[in-house]
Amino acid sequence: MLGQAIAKENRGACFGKMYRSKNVDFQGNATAAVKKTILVANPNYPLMKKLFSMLIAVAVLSVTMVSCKKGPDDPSFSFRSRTSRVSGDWAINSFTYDTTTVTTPATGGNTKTERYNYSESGTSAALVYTRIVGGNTTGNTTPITVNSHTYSFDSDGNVTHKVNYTVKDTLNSAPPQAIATTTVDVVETGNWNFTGGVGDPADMEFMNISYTSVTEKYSTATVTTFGGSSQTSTSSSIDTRTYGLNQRVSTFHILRCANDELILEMTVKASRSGSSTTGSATGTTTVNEDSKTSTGNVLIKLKQ
Amino acid sequence: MYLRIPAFGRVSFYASFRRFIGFEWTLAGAEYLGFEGLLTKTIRSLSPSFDSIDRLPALFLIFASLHVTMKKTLHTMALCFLAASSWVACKKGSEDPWFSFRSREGRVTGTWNVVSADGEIARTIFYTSGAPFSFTKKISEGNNAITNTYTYGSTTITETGNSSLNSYVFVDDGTYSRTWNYTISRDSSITVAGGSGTITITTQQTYLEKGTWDFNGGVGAGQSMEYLLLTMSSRKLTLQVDRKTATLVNGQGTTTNETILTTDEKQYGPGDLSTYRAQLIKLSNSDIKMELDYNNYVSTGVSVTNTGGTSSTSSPINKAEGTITLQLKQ
Repeated sequence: MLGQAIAKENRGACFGKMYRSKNVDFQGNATAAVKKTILVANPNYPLMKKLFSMLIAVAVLSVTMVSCKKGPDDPSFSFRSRTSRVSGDWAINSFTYDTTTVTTPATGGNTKTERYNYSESGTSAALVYTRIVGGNTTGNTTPITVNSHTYSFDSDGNVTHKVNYTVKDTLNSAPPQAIATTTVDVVETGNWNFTGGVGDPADMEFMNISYTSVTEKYSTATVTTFGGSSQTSTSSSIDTRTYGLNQRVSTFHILRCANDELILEMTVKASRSGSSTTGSATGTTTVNEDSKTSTGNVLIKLKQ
Repeated sequence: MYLRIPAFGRVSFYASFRRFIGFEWTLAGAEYLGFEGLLTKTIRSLSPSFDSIDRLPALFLIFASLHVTMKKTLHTMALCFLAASSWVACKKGSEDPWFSFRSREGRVTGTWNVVSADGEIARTIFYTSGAPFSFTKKISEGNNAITNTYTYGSTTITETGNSSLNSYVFVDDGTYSRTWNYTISRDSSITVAGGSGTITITTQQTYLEKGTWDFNGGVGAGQSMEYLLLTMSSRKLTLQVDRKTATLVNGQGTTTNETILTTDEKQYGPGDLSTYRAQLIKLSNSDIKMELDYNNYVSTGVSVTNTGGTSSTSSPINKAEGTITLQLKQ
């Protein structure tokens, strides 16, 4: 009888306490006595028991942790929720925006390719504009000084994007020399949220940002220098806009969501074509719109 | 003392009794929760001669049976509470069913016909010079019959028509399509030199929108899955407008016809602001009621200050305010 109980106790040890306890008790044997005997027969029993518990714990923990990894560069595991990891004040580590728009005229003629490439790292940024028409390339580079650039997400779903930058533009290089220095202060506020888990993307793999209010302040100081003397004129403007909930919803793929780093990517892809045909007793006229295709990418790397 | 139970062979009386009252289950549970040692200690303090469960005093068995009953009741209550919590969690919209055995994703998936649409949108068109033009559009659609009423100042224009197809198809892979084909017409009277006339404008629309759908997450005040997110990947609109002008001048009738056919095709990516949200007021197996927010450019303004102190404001952008409520049935 005791032998059977020991055998069952050992077998039960492989399947968990419930099973073991049930069998031993079902035999009507003394639990304490059986355990003492088991210890004599199998000195590794306590070790096996601990090992089994640890295995269960590791299995449960790993399932939870794997489910935390949504983006391709996400940490393997995190003890913080994705909401709390996103929430906080973030500074720009790097910001790139690169889009190319190809316009094919409906009336024939040369295709126009325009590229806007903006890259920002630290306080230094530049916007490179390139235009190619009929094999001729033109363009310009605008150097930008970024005074501050931050994102702030809170756990209530509010987002604030602030950027303050300065652009110097030489209006006239020959005397009288005129240089305009414009400082732009942009504040965008709105809300953010994760997406659900419908379809291929994992739950919380993407996030939506919807700006409902934008304020842009422009302050320009133009210094005109001639014959050793200079004159400064200033102008400023404030442009405020509020938007509906559905008007400016951007979807970002969260490539990495760590405690101290957030990497967001947005793919830009758009095309448009159209035509209008008018028919009357005098005949039919068709007007085709220019066909436009835009492709590109926005990559925002944030650090805390 | 032994009993013979066919299913279990010969077992001790206490064992069968314990089994009958569910004691094993309790003990296993106690042990599982790490209470076994505490239980044994407590029993020993009550009965110093106790050194095995088999010698458990009868009193303890009664206590244990009560304990088991209470524990079972507690477990049942806990299960009910958990189930109720899940069901309540399913209720996101104000008119949602109290509980559903189908997930929200499962409930959205399917082919839906738009059976009604109601709402009002106020539009204002700003011009660079002159007063802005404001009008409201009231939409009322039910059983495929459409009535749109435009009001500006004291003038009201009503157009009526029918939808031949007005549907959404949500697929469980996260894609959707929206089709809305309709014909609508309106008449308006005109005055011409020496007579009068009528202009009848008939508009036929075919519209196909494709994209991906998802729910919102649970960040902030809104509940998770309270909104449906629709991100357009393509949109094709064909509009045929037939304009028929019939005039009667000095008893002489004249009719002219003009047709304008417009096609517009767009493809979008995530960066094209092509996502819109619909608040799910009701989501059941056979009904969806959702509210679409049409607020665009709620306010806008620019103020400029120059060195000389000149300032100006302007608002040359169109704006719209309003919501449309759609009811869908499977």
